[in-house]
Amino acid sequence: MSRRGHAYLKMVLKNIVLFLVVFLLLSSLITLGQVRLKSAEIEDTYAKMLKLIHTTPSLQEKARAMGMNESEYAWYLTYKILNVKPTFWESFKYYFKGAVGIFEVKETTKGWGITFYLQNTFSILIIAEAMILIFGLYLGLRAGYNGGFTEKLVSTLAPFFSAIPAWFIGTIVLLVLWSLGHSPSFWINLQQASASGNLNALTYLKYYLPPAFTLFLAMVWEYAFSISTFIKEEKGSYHVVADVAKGLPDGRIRKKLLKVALPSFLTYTTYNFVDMLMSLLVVELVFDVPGLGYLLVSSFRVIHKEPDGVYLIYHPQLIFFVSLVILLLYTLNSILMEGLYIYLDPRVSRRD
Amino acid sequence: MGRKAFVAGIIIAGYLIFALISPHLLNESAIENWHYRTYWVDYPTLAPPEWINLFGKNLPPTENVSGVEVAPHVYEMKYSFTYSEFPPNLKIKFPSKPEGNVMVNMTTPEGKTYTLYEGPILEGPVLELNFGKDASLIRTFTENMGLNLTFEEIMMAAVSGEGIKFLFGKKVGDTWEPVKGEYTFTVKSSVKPYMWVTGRVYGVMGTDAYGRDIWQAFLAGTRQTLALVIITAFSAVSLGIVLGLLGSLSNLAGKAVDGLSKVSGMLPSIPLLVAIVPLVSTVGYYGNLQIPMWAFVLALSLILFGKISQNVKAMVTVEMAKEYVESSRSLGASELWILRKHVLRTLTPYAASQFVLISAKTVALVSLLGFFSVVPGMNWGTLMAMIIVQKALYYKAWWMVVPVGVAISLLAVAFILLNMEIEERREGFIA
Repeated sequence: MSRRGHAYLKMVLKNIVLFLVVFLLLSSLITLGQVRLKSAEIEDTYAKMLKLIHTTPSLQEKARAMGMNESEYAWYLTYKILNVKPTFWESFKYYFKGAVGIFEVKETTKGWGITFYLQNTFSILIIAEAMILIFGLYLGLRAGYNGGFTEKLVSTLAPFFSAIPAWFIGTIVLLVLWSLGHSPSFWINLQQASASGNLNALTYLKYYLPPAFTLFLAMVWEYAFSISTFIKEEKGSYHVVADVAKGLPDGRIRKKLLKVALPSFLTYTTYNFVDMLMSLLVVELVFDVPGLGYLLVSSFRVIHKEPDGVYLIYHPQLIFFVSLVILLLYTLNSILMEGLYIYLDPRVSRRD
Repeated sequence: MGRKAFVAGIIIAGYLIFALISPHLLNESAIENWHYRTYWVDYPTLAPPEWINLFGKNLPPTENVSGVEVAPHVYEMKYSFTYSEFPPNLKIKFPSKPEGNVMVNMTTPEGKTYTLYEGPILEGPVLELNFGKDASLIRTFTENMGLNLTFEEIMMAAVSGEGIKFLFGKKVGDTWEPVKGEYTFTVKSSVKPYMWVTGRVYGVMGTDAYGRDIWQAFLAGTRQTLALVIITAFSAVSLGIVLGLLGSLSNLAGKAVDGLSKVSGMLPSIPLLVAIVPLVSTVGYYGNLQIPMWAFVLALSLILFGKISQNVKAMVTVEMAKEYVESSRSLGASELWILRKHVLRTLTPYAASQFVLISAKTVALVSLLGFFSVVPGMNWGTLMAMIIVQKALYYKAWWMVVPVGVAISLLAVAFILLNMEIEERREGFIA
């Protein structure tokens, strides 16, 4: 195998192992949480089941058919009803199946399939990343090469926007949109468009823009700043000084610098991917987008129901599913970015 | 001191002073009853802060007018109504059940006096006359005031809580226009009453959908937010430094630390906390979820320590290869002694910078996790949870979001500025 091929293999294996470790950790926590929440109900349900079996001949027959006595069958039903498995491994397998089974869910509470939620999150993420890449590169290149106002703007805004939470920027965007007469709720807009028969790809794109713009606004300055710092360093390097001495036009030098700066986006997105995803989950809530954030916020809640009191709503499958998707995204992103890095940067392949 | 550090110092000092004085401004019973809905039943719901009246609005504030005894068992309460809208409700409340009948008269700014109610105060959990929502009372006082209202009008006013417009208004066309001026309520009662006017604006930061005073939550949350931030930053930086140092001692430990750091960098904060909460939390009074602070701090530390430990490991490896360390070694110094006496000192500026940076991140994380109701106790994150549960943004309740958002952002900006200053000095020192 070539040196580069070896580097690819090592990188992919490393990312898969990481994925498995984090996945197992999160899955174990989710499983343990479910077992804890259900433990209080187990005794009650068992007593109810035992009484039911004792008074229902058809259930007694089922127990006999399964080779169980009444008590064993009552435990069996209890675990089945409460979605609890008798051992940790069994529980783990159960929840894994549940998480995978979520893809088969035809409709959720909002009346859409699970792919709809994924589609929304992915679309916003892709639009935001594309905007950050295009405008961030432009701003960073301009700031690093020309200096002046753009540099001042980027270097001033970068620390401020890195401190301001994305949800707060989203709130401001939402209030501004509202004051301009635009309804900021993705969900309401979508329903209205669906009712009037105007639901098409462009409509979706229009409604994805506010959350994507929020993420863009929150992240672009830091990216532009890192590009500008990189360009400033690169500007002093011999090959650029030589290009200037040769009298090459500014446009050509900038083009060359752009090529050098492009791979830095890979590093930036790899480092900030989790942060960006977490911000996206909250921004989705702000704009009422049914995405992974909505699934996660619905997965565990305490609600008050008069006169009974408090109910715990816990959907381990949803937490499991969202975690799985985030980890898969992270791993795929890492493999893609590190792979491209190996491909683009010959030093990396030589080192490996 | 640089300009950035000066500005950051002033902001952080301001927050610390505020955290110190906040318990003195706090109404303890408001926080004790935060989840007890009945406590807040008389407060206006989703009311903006009172200071919006300074910007062109003229909305009635919430007022508590105590009765003044003008004759034996005759109490007088004056209400100056000078606002553009009617208050949502007005109640005359009695601390204990008055004996016999009570009589309530109201004198309007024009000098006309009407008997609004004459009769007993019925035994019940609340001893009050509810002029805004009690249909029977609305019928009585509108009849006494000579207003010829239909049954539907009275019922509509009672259901939508608009009975007050009949007290303080006059019908112009189809609408009720406010009649501004001083209204005097005279109550004949064996018990001293007080008048509670539910306003359309409330306090410093307004109220939420349950009528809860957001300023009280902000006050109570300031201390805990700062405590959470400092403890988490300290814990994450300590963990990062200890593991970084350990990782530099041997190749195997180094690989283990590298692995842990990568796992830490990959852990998604929100799903991790959502997964941990059912495992460690309990349900307290009024059904609120109680999350222990240690679990929150531990989880955040696990998420945040990764990069620090990797950097510390790299820094220590470079430092340990320097000549002065070699000299110490040749003089018989142990690795541990060298780490403690030499290397740890060189790490101090980095630790300070990371402490500040992690603090900024934690401030943002507390608010972010608050949206998913996975933050412990009462802090600024709790206010975020309210925004989502109550759909505050879609009621245009900006006062529930903007002031807290500004407070969080300002604190984070101060930490970032401080970090920039530390980094600049560190770079200057290294150069």
